[in-house]
Amino acid sequence: VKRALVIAALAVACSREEPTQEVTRPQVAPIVRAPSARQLALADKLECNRCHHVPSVPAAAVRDKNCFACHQQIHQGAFDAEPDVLAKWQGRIQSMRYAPSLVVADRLQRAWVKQFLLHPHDVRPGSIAQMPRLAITDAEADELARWLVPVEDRGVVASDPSLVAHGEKLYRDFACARCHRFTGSRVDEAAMHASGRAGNEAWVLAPDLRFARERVQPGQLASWIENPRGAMEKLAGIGPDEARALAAFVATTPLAPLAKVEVPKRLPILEREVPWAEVSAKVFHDTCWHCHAVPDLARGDGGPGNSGGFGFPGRGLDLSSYTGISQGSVRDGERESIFAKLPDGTPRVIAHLMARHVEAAGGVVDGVRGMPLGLPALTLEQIQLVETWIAQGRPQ
Amino acid sequence: MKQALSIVAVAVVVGGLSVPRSADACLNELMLTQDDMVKRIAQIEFHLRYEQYWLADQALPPVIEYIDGGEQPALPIKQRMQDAEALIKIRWHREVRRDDYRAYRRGADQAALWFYQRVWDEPTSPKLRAWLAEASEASEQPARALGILRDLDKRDLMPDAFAYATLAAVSYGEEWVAAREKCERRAEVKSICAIRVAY
Repeated sequence: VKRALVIAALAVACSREEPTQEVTRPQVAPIVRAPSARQLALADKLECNRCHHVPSVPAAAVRDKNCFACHQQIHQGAFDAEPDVLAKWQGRIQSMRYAPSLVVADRLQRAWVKQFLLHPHDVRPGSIAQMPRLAITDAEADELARWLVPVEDRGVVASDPSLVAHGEKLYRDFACARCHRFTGSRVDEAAMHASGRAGNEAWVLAPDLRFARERVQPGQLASWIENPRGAMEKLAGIGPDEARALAAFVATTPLAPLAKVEVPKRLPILEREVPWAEVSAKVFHDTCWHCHAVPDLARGDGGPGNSGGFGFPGRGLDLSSYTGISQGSVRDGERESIFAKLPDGTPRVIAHLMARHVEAAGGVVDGVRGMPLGLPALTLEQIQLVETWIAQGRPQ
Repeated sequence: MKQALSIVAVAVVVGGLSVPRSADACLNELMLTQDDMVKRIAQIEFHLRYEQYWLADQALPPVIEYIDGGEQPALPIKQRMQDAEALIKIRWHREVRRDDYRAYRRGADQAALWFYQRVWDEPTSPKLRAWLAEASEASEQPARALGILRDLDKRDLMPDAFAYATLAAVSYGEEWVAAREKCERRAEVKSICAIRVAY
């Protein structure tokens, strides 16, 4: 009788239809697959570990090339510098304090990762720094994506209307908008997001959930919400049912199309005189200098924009001084002026600064990389200042 | 065996010390505020920019003593010190040692030789080429100075107003007028444009 009961129970269990609409499985450990020599060489060339924690790749040494770790140490007061210098820097350094760990990129969709590497855009509204537009080929992006996302979960997210409605309620109850923007959705609350600004890692790295449906593997979404492995904190009292409902809501709630971002027009040349001291303080020494510095003073490394880095060859461009900026940059072994006019009459340096606005609007300018790399575009007023200074003959 | 091991150990230590460490460009700020040698060099370069040659000259010996005392800065820092020393010879001594022409000329020749070697090592550096031109002009080799500066000016790579002042010193007519005008537009201290007269 016992055996008959067991057989019957097994038969019932086996005949039960598999759920087709949802897959939720607890995910605790990252999927680790050893990178190939080619993948490691790529990560080395592109210097991914300068910002990210990369699986199987040791972090760059702080004070050498690890931008984020260095900034964190400065804010923690652990950086070896005089107290007054530390205090000054702590007041200034706002960006590049937190970068997402690539160890947990395995939950993402491989195709999205590849596209993001090729055409990075602003995913994290709380972060000032963004993924830089690297010099990367389609094949290289594919290679990296295959490494970072070794396995894809082909599950689907539940879309039952009652579950979605429950998810929306939970989204509000958990106050997800304190960390996340969800642009285009009816729960997006910019003001609440801004009020949640704590400058902590979770807030800075919280992605705009609009991208979740194309970015995260559907089968990983609920398990991530229930047991996040990155900067996101585990929500108090959340269980598998709540996670499933939230995933259903995030993945299926209707989204309004994003408003088209217009590329702004350059401002006219100023009437007043703009001296080097002003343009240096407000632009070059404020932003550009961090990557385009003097190798002589920094033990041989003038930053990625001077000595090379992030896969770019050294351009020898020093924007830290009047003499430095006047010496131009290296292209094909020869120096050329950064003020040289392009066919449309725009000085090259201005073209690079405006190209960043084009990139922010989702476009690309052929042959001109937007600057500053991986940071928001300079304001039109800053660009106007530089352009005026150039037009006035670059007075010192 | 022991001797071989100790030679290897010494080679490793010396090799480790001589390989320049890569460093964040952000550390320019740290070096400028905390590294004694870098601070001194920056101060000398500041004096040179503002025509404070006497102050630059006064600031130089402690750096040389520092180096002679066994403190070996990285090669680029040492070269910057030597660049400054050469510039003092041609810019300041031009003013204060004109009465002792031989001494002035000797310094100018030494500076020209120094910058010639520097340009040999870094042939595309506009700054070093402009300094070679400046030293060449001081050591009465105007043709070489003119050739260098015309090329830099044509490519819009003149590093500073001193380069235009030198171009004015070795040119005539419209070229002289243009060089003087550009010098005055770019100079922090306008008087540098008036120092040199055409040959």
